[in-house]
Amino acid sequence: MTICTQPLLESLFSARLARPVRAGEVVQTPVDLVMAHDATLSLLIEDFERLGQTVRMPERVMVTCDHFAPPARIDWANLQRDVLAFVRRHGVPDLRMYQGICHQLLLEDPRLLPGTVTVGADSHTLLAGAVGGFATGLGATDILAILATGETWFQVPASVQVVLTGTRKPWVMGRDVAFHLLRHFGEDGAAYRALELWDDTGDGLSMDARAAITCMATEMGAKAALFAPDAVTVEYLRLRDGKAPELPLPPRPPADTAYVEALAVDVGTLDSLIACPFSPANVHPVREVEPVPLDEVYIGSCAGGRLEDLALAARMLSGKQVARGLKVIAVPSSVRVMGQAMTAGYLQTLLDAGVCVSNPSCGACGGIDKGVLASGDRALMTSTRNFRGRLGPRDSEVYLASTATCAASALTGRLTAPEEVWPC
Amino acid sequence: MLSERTRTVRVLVLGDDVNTDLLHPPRFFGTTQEAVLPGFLAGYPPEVAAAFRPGDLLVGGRNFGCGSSREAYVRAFRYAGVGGIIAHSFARIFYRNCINAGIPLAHHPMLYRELTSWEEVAFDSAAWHVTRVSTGDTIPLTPPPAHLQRILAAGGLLAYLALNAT
Repeated sequence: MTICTQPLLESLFSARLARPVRAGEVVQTPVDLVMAHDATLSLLIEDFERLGQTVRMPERVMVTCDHFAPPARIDWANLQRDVLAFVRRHGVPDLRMYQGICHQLLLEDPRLLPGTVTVGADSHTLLAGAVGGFATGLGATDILAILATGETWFQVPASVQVVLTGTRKPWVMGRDVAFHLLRHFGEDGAAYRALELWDDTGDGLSMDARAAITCMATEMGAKAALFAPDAVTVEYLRLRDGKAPELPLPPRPPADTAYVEALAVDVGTLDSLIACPFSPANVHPVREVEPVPLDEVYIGSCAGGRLEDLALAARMLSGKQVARGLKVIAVPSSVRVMGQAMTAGYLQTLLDAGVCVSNPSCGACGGIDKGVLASGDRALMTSTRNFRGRLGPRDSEVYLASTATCAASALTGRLTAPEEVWPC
Repeated sequence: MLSERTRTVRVLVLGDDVNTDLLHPPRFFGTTQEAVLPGFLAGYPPEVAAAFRPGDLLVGGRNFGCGSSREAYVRAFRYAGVGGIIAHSFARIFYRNCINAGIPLAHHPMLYRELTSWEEVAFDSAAWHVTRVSTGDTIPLTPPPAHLQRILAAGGLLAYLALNAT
């Protein structure tokens, strides 16, 4: 009897535990990288100190101040003060003060490599799987235990293989691929599973596009989502770290591999997609949705706001003006991204078009600041979720779409498919 | 006969894909009771939270608790006295968070279709069943796996860690 080849994630855990590990097993494992941000870390500090714990491996910890960046309310300023005191008290070296959204900062961090195990005190930590490791979100109490002990338990998830082929239309982005997967899975169709993504597309998905997809796998219920490391990964890591990674690229597992589902997506067939209120999985083609008038357009969050997003928005808005009276806000996902966008001239273009460019942070996506909604407002955003009441009162509405759709709609003031304003 | 460990409480029946922003919108983020308790069930019309009494159960459908990891909602559950949650299935972070906080969770595929909001049940979180007061019917529930029941029995993950510290 031959031993079936394993999905990438089961191989990853088998290598870590030095024994064959199958989906469904509960494993105890050390973690390589732990992220906590100012909001969720604040929830565990009191218990951590009461129990007299110490941070076991401070060099593996990243603390970000990105939710209250900077604080807009006194109670949030108080929480952040406590977080900063915690970082000082426990000697955590890696503190990212207003440097960007935690998930983007993980993606930019040289410690995040293919094959590593990353946990974060935030649901969208799945984003970090874009480079080919296991990354998942946990609550503050689990993170507390990991800070104290350096390890945690996981039930190894079964894997869904997703093979992407075809060549995208110029305005179809990674975010649209994510919407297509959301349409397939719904809000829980990937629950307790891992997505293993293989990029066979004609022009290849950039790391920015991949991150938008792994981020949004959270909204499919997935435990993890990882892109199989390939030439795009190697080039990203080389540019990021200043040296080529020593990385054996995994071969494609054969057809008899133990996947729970295998999915093929021809991205060439995709149009721009949109998630209507009040679910990220309520997905329709933009052109089939009524072109309702908008009060706000927001380009940002860990699901948008990367360099590729800002470049496309600048290209579409160059020499034009956003619709009169429309609130249009762009929030780069990190200081590094913002600097690159500044050097390339994208930010000036956006400012000239009438876009409010704000500092890297979670902003309106978390319902925190920089564009929360008024009663009755209707917004179009690149953010992660459009649940009722998340970003404003119960009677406000959020549509989710790609940056291309957001930029097109910023020009017209109503829901607009990018091809309506293309070529640009 | 109801044993001493059961309590007669009421159920609040919610649907599928109940997300954390409905259970506790992010604008109520905080660490204190004054900050987080007003956000309990604030994604629903205000009469829902007003009717909830300590010990009452939340009963839902598929993918209960999908969305955010932030444990402000767990604090709100504690302050509001959520006695337990029974659903068809749970979102994974929400599931771990509630177990870690010592809030009993159980699975039942159809309970949310069988019960109506605010009906009285007796909940036994040791034998893992509910009894409908109106009919006397006892409905068995699927409890968490053994390694998580140990955390629940300790009163949550922090108490469990303290117990198992060397």
